[in-house]
Amino acid sequence: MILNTSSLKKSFGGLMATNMVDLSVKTGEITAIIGPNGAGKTTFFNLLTGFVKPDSGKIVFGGKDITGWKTNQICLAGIARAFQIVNIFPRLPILKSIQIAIFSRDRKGLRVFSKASDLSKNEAFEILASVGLEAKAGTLGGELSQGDQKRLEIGIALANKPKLLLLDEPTAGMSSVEKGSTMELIRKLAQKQDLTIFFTEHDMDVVFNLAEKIWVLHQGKIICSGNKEEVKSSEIVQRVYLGEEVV
Amino acid sequence: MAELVSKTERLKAYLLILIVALFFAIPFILSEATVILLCEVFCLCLFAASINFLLGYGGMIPFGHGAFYGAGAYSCAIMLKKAGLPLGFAILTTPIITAILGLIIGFFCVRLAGLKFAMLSLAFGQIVWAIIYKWYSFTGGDDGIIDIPLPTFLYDSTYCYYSIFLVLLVALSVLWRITNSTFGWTLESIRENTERVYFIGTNARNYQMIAFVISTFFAGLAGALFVLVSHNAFPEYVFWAKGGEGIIMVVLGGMFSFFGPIIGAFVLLFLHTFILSQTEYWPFFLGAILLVVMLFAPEGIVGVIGRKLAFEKEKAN
Repeated sequence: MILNTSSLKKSFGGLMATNMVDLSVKTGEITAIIGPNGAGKTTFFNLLTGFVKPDSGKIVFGGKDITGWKTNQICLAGIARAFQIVNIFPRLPILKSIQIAIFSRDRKGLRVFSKASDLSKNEAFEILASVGLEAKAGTLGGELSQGDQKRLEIGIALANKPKLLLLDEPTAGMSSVEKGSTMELIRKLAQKQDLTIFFTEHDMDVVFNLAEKIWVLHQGKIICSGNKEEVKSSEIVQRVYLGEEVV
Repeated sequence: MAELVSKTERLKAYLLILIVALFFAIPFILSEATVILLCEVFCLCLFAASINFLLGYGGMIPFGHGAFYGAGAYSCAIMLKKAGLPLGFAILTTPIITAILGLIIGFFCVRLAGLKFAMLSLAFGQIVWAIIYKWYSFTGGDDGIIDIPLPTFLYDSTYCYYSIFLVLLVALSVLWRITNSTFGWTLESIRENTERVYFIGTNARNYQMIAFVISTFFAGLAGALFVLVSHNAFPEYVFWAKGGEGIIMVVLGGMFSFFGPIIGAFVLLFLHTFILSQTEYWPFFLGAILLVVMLFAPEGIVGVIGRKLAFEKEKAN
């Protein structure tokens, strides 16, 4: 297991956003966490990345207890994240954005006098190529299309050479063509050694297409987990999540 | 494509060398009054560049930055007049003193962002001003420090010009190097999206802190250099309006560009001198200039030129 949470709890005022979540992600397995709006998926990702601190419980990543670590420490430990709402550097060329993420990973960011422009440029190109953006290396992040910005999100996350990549709704707001190519990209990334993908998604086609293991979250609680057949046939999932109609 | 880029880069380098050469020739061409004015402009160029390092590159609005410029002037003035220390020592240690002051003030300021950062920096700046204004026995209070003794060659405007110009060149080269370093790039990403920077494994606050210290180092150096021209130090150098003036230069010349604030400093000081020679209503004209810039060219002079060049290029294609 690359990731384990035990009895993880977080509440905002009276709202239990994460309620005693015990979840694990197996190394190398594409894992999804799904749930209706407000189920607590994003909060769960925020907990994993140290963006919010849990009230109680434990997060273990790669055998290390990372509960209470800061976001930047968790990132350097090997968890990278791409966001649901595009969260990039709008006025920087995209190649530069990737290079900056590489500097951070290599802990070179504090070098006040070392020239940046050619440093790790080739690697940054390779990363852009792996998300299909190499032809746009000089474009500013903010000038890319929505779909390309989401690819850049993933590119920036990959620059950290993570062991675990968290994708928050990677296909949200995409056309079906873009969705297809993004799924292709995720599948390709997952085949790389040492990279485990853990994602949330609204689109059930995407989830059932990609995920080898699915966790279902409802009102902050895990109500079901298993492969797609198990989740599809689970009565409780159909009731609380998929509605009356059976998918 | 790559060839084209290197060609424009080379063109830029030639242009820069030409401009620097021109400045070396100026004392032989222009009047003494202009040479002295240029000495003042050089100091403000460095001050504006130090502000832009925080504002344009780091995304922080240092409203109280006049405090560091003024503290630099006072530190240099006190070392020369009261302690009788040599000029070289004063010029070298002053930036270190203001950087230490920057470390203390920056420690608190970088905890906040946006307007809160601006207000806190203003508040600290005014505290520094109040101390200098009220500490009569040490700083001379509102009388300031006058008749600061300088090495005799500096009383010659040509030597003064070259001394300041050379220090400015060295300081700007160092700042240029820093803005193009891995640190400078990371600082830009913090300006763009501070929250995201934590998710690439960087503790943004540490970077902002270091940027603040670097900026106050150069602001202090600018203030110390100004003593060579003015031969005095007054509380108004420390006042928040000084920082405001620096921010106006940055906005006028253009943020996000290394040379923008330097051009802004030139334009503002020459307009100031010219308009004052015609009329006493300088603040009115300053207001009008700012209005025009904010309404029609919020990206400043450099931004407008860049836009124009890009437009011409597109037309040529």
